Amino acid sequence: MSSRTIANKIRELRFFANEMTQQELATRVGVTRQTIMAIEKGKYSPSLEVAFKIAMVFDQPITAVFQYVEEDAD
Amino acid sequence: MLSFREKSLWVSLLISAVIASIYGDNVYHFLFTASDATGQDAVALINRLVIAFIVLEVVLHVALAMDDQEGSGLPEDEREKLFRLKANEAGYWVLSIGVISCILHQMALSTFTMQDDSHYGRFILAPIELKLIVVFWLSEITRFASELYFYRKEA
Repeated sequence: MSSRTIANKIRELRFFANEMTQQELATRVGVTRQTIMAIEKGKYSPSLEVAFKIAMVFDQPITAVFQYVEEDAD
Repeated sequence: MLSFREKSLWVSLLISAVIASIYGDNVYHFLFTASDATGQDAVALINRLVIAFIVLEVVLHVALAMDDQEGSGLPEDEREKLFRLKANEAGYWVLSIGVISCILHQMALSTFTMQDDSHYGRFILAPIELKLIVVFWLSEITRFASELYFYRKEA
């Protein structure tokens, strides 16, 4: 059975949002910059509330920001 | 770059390790070199170390907050709260196992008369309050170290 992981396009969306910094996104969402960094790297899965807040910052549906994808087989 | 919470944890871990080593050194002195040490000496030691711990925590955290004013003003976010709760669980296990061990050990000592002048024997027969303080410091160090492990695992 293949396993899945949560991927995201936050870095890309930040770039196209006038090159928003991680700190700016963190401030708007209400978390620390380190949390945004961990989410972008896939090291931390945010709660639904934080995921929705991130999507609202970019004015995108949540599925455009986060995807539940199959892990690459090594 | 470290968050304020992580810097605070490093400070607390360092202070706990220093206080625990000073305590351990004094306990060694009480048990093995100072034959005239009394219970009051142990109480005085514990009082001094608690005061030193509180003063160091306050002073160093104030200095940390002054250095990172923005970070110190932010509330704990969900990720930091998760790390803290997981670390608290690790510290709780160390504290629980340590306290239960001390109690069982004390019960065994009251049942079986023991006389041992070796280093190991003198520690085993040390007053329970000295051993409980050791357990407390171990659980605190476990708590801080565990939380730092979660932060560093992501780096």
